[in-house]
Amino acid sequence: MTTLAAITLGLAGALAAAQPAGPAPKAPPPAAQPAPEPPDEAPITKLPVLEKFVEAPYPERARAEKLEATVVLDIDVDETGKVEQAQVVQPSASPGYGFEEAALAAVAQFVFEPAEAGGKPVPVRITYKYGFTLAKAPPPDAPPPPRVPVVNFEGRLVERGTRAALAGLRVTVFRDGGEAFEALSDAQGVFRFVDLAAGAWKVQVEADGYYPFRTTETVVAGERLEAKYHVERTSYNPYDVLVEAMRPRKEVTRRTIEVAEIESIPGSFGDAVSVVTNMPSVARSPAGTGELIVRGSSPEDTRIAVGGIDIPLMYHFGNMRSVVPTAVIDSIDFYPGNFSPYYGRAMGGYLDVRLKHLEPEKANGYLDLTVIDSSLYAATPVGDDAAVAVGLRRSYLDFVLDAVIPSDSPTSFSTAPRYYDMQVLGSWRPSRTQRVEAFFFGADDRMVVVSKTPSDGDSRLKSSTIGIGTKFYRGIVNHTWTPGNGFENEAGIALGYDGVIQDLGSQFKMDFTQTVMQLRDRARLTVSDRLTLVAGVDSLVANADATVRSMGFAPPQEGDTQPVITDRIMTTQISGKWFYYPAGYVEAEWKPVDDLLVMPGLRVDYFDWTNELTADPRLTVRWTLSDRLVAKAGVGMFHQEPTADQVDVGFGNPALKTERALHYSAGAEYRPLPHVSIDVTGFYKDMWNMVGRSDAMITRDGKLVPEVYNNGAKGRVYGADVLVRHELFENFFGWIAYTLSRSERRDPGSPSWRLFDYDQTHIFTALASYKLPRNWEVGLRWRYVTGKPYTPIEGGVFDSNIDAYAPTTGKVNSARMGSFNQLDLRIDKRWVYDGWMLNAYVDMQNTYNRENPEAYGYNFDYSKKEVVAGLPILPIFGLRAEF
Amino acid sequence: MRLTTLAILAATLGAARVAAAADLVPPAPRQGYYISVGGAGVMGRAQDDKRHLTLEYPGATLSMHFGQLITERFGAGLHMEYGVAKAERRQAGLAGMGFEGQAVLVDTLALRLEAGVGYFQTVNLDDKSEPSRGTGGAYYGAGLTYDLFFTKPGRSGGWAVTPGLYVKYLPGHRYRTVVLWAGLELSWWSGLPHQALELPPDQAFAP
Repeated sequence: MTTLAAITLGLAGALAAAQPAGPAPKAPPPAAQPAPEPPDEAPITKLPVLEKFVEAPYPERARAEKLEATVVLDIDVDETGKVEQAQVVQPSASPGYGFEEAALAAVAQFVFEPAEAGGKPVPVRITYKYGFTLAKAPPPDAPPPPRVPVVNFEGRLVERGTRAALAGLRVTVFRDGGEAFEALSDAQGVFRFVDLAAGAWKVQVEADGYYPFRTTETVVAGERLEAKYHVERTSYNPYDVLVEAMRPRKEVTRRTIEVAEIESIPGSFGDAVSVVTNMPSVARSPAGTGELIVRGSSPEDTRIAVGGIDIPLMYHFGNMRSVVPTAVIDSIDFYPGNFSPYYGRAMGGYLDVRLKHLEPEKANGYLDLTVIDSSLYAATPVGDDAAVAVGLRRSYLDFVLDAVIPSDSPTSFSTAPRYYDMQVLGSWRPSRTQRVEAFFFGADDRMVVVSKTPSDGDSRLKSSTIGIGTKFYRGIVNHTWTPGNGFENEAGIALGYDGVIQDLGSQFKMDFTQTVMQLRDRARLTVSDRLTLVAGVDSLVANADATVRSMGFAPPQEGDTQPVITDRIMTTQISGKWFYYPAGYVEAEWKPVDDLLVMPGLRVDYFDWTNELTADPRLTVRWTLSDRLVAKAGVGMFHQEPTADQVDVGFGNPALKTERALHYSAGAEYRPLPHVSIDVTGFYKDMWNMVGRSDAMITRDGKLVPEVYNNGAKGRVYGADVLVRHELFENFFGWIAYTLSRSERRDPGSPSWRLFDYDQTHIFTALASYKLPRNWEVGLRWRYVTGKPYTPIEGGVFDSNIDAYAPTTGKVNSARMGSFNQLDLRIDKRWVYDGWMLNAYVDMQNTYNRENPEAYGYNFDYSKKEVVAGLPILPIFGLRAEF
Repeated sequence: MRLTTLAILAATLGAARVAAAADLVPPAPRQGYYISVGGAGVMGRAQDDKRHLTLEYPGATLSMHFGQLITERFGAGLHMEYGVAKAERRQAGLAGMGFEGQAVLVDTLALRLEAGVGYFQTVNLDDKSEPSRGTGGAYYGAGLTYDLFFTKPGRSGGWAVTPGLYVKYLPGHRYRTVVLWAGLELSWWSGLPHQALELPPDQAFAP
């Protein structure tokens, strides 16, 4: 016999009913007696709590007739918690069966924790429902109620080193006698076993790509065992790269390098941007310059951007480190030519560093120590929809030089070379259709060298001091909106500051600062499966201050054999001058047939220095011939402004106009295997209106002045490049890049063509990296490059005016230096600990110590020359702790 | 959360025990990280580019190697070395450091190859005013070593005495130096963690 009394001391009902005893709001039956008044009518602060429940006997006749009922009563509870009296306020629906009497008898024996008012016990009246419910008799052959299993062994699997939760791993427990169970870990890495018998159990965790984890645990009866296991992967990548989707290729040539491939490329010291110099179409830059020489063009013809925003400087001193650390980079897009109208103001190539969409699942970061600098990076999620990362790097070459250079050295540093940079990257997704990203970064480089002894040569070039300082920062905010219906919009604004100081003693001084704002927007509308329209703006505004003074020292130009000395004192001064560079573009992605993509586009730029409005029509075509083969071609116009010194009235010619180039390229992409691609591209670049030196005298503002420069130069570059690439697959990645090219130039007034300074006929790079067991990784890079052109010096003539020999030179760039070849080797070793990892590497450049010619050095009268070699064998050590 | 709890048969127990056996290796002395420190007698020959000076000198070196056996047969690491020698009233110094790789040929006999950066310098002991001559650059070595383990067998790692024989070459731009190296090193092998070893269950599942 079971009487289940449904006790309803409903909170709402109790609150409504419980009140200082007195006139009840719901009129009680006349028999109801008002309870005593509380002492001070203070409000109830604590309701009575039932401490002792008494079960009412179920009326037998009601049980026989299977009747159930509920009786509502008012109970007066005194200040001690005892029931003072009770009365029925709502009888049962079955009067006469004895429900009311049974309920009254039971509640009279209840004991409560008394109610309180103002912290003191007070008498109250409550409304109480007493339910009479018959217990259901079980069917005669029903199974016994299931016993609730008890989890008595719960564990969590995390990846050793990264602390990432491991889902879907099989955990087996077993013990002697053949009893065994297994479980799978869930999304949080948690596994559970229920009702394990007490005693010792062997535990094994196993999964592809992980070392097995084995241990023994002891289960104690009545206790819950909890464990956390760090399971080690057989191989670790320095960065976990989540590739959301492969971006479709639309350009004739776009080389994209994923960060996972960058870290261990020999010779790059883990620096992402340096890796681009291993791509085809990129010539070898002189040692230590880090210049980006694309298809024979001058380095200033190629622009560098971060997320589409131009930056003035990509490398620190020595050009071994870029100003944007690899940790915040998603990938690097490099366009050696025929780039989209999205990019402009350059007629060489374009390098766009794509920032990471910051989405860390947990806090992570690293401390990186090398022989040249140290850096810190940390990223963390902020709530569910945002994340932030900060980075900082500082070189310590200045500390080393200060310590090792003796005080009596002929050369000393009043400011030893040092650089630092910092970054803050934030990401926020306010909704599924929007993403806001902010990136603030800056860099500062400074160096002052003091020479105490004069050197041979032209006295006008002797400077006792060389000081260089650069500083810039940019704050970039990007907003991406993809509301659907085929429309998406990317808007970005950047604010920044650039500062450059150059001090060559009495010969040359420059102090330049500018504030910059760049506004970008790209709207994209998918009209149909066959047509997508893109339109955007790319506007730049700058406010500049500059003071430049040169004592006859002309800024170096392409083709100069020696520094050009003039008798003029050149100065310029600008203050608060505004420059405007508005630009807009449109582009269509049109598929007239399924396999053919035609992309016509137009970019319109206004160049403030030259006061020109230019229009650059561009066309790219990609034809998918099969699943593996794509043919491609492009043609386009490109404009670029002369450099600041060339158009300055003090140093150059303010009447100069933009330089122009027409790019043609055609080629094919073939993918014989899913992870192997072959890309062959032929190119021709026609350049005109190029700036060259002029010896003419012209009339400007009524005065006869040197023309200095004019737009009479022409150029042409032609060749082909090949890239055979094995993407990161089965522990290996690498590529072979080869470029065959010739770049020629015709100077103003010259009838003949000559080689560009940066012409390199053959450029070959073979690069490979392989991940070995036990977290070792080995990489190598071998390069062969034709020697660069130079202008031979045939002798020297003493010039009493300068008290030194002046060289007599042959034809410009009519000779070549010896070829360059070099092997770089890198070995990485990673140690994995429970919560962090340590990576050590040795990056050895020029492993067989070849003396690669970079220049020729001459004696005082130019009768003898010797090779100035590039970097000798150079081992660089580094350590990185990641958490 | 997905929770799978299955009672499985004794046959599965056997499978669970051997499931990852393919990734595991039995214990052996030459396993894990290694570090070797020792000395050697050397006989060197140095010659300058113009053959004005040829030195043949005996001497001694101190060396250190450390690294890890990456697979059962191949290892990688770093090495460093410093030696001095005297000949014909000239003193020579040789230093080198760089990568090394090793391949086990048979038993504990290993072929080792070295590549790195080295430096060679000589001074005239009779004429201190004569500038020292020397060169720096790439540095290569090849040799054979044999580990004689004296710790108990059946365990992973241990201590060994390692005799070795090397030829080393420093092709500098002004001097070329060849060194014959015969020496003895004391080596310690860390062994592998028990999670990576094929062990009997009582050892494999030791907490």
